[in-house]
Amino acid sequence: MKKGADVQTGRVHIKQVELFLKGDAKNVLRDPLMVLVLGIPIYLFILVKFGIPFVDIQLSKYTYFQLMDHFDLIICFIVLIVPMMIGMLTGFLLLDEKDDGIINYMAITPMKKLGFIGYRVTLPLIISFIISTVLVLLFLIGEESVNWGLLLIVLVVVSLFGPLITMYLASLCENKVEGISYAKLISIFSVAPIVTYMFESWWTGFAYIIPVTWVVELSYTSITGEYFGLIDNWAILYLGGVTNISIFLYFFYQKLRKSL
Amino acid sequence: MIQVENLFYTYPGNSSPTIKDINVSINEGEIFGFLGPSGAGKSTIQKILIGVLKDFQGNVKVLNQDVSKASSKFYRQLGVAFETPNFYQKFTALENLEFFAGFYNNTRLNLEDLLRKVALENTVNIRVSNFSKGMKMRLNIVRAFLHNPDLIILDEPTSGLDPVNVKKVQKFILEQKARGKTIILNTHNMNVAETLCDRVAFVVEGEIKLIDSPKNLKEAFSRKEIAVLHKEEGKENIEYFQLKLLGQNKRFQQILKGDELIKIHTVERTLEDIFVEVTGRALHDRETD
Repeated sequence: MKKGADVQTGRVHIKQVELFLKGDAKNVLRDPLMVLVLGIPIYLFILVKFGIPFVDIQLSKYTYFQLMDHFDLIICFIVLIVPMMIGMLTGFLLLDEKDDGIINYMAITPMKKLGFIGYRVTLPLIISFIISTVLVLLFLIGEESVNWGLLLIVLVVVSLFGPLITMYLASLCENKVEGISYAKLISIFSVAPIVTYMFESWWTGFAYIIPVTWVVELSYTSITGEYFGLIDNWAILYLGGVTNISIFLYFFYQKLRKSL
Repeated sequence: MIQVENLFYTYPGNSSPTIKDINVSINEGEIFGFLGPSGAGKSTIQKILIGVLKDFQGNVKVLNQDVSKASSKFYRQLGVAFETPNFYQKFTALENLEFFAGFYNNTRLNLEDLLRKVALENTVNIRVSNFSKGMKMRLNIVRAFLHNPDLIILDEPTSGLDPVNVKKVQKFILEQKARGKTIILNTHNMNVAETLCDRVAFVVEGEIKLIDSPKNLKEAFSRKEIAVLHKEEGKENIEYFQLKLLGQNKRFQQILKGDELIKIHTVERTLEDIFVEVTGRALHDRETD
């Protein structure tokens, strides 16, 4: 009897997720901005596959600097951009829902407000993991230096950026227009690991306040087996990254709950 | 269906309570109206009844549950139409209803049939972003009923509607009452309250000043007098007479004999007149419908 009830609850749950996914698909596909954001992994793939070799040919006419020399770092950023893009999409959806009063309505449905927020922050985590994994396989399959076990851990950690960005946008912004401005700020913070990549000095330690730094360095290690920056131990990078992201996740989650 | 005892609520950061010592009991199958001007505390009471505001003082039982511990089962039996319609703008009317119906296992009503009842049958495939305010309001009301709930709470259900649609919405609400639903209305439209409500509560400054049926109130507050419009020396004149011993009133008889009578009618007092008399407050932003 109990088992039957559990199965039934499970079914209801799956049915609701299916309902939400269909709704999200409609909301995304009917909004030109969202469709544009959704295409980012495809643009990235085309850009890296064909754009970088083309730019390098042009560069070689003037300088010895070649983007391909930094290919592994570029892949690390691509692994990171996917969850950020997914987080931005779900963040925009949540902002529209906040703006239209849908969140308030969810409070009086059997799912309640917290159940819905739970769905909204879990969705980017799962989708980010799937798309990042596909992209990583497309770019890195056949590469000998890749530590696939560590890369799998990296993909899980990196996927946390999905809910992080969703909550960052939804908790700090009132509507999508504000959300677009706040999304631009993310790009500024994302240059932090370039600082630790380019410079070797104590002051680059400040970059470790930003979660992106930990994750990009950890990705780099998993792909190349080498380190850059101040930390040269993958376990510390992993634990530090998870702790850092968890602090931000907790902070934005509390802020989101209050703002809704 | 609803029992509220000694309810107080103070918003965080406020020093004095917004809701003060509310006691009310609402029966199954009843249409009950909370009447009062904007800012009287009607919406706050509503939020408490639907389990959204929890940090209140007092006892509030809704659908036989302590409302501060409202479960998913509670929300399956409850339908709410908020004052501001909240829909997915990029979905059509039908898509919105199908989406929200997906939350419930209860026996569902035929969605297109529901839309027809409030004259929205031709807008099934139109996106809500293209709806007028009145259309959104009607869709909002219909959504509150789509999962066949036992208790329905409607906040200002006729706000922004034209007179024809007010009638349609009123008819729809009365049909739902006939099906045994308990319906609670928040309104500052006294005509709507008079037409729909079995009982009303006058809410002013977070307090209930009075609870009774519109019929009883009109009887109790009636002046029991008539107005007589007649012509005197070429000018129209109106005079009022007590019904009691009217036949013996000499002035009244004099007017009747004068053959210059234009009309006689009883002095009816509206619910709004009674509200003003009881609460000392006017319903400033009264709707024109």
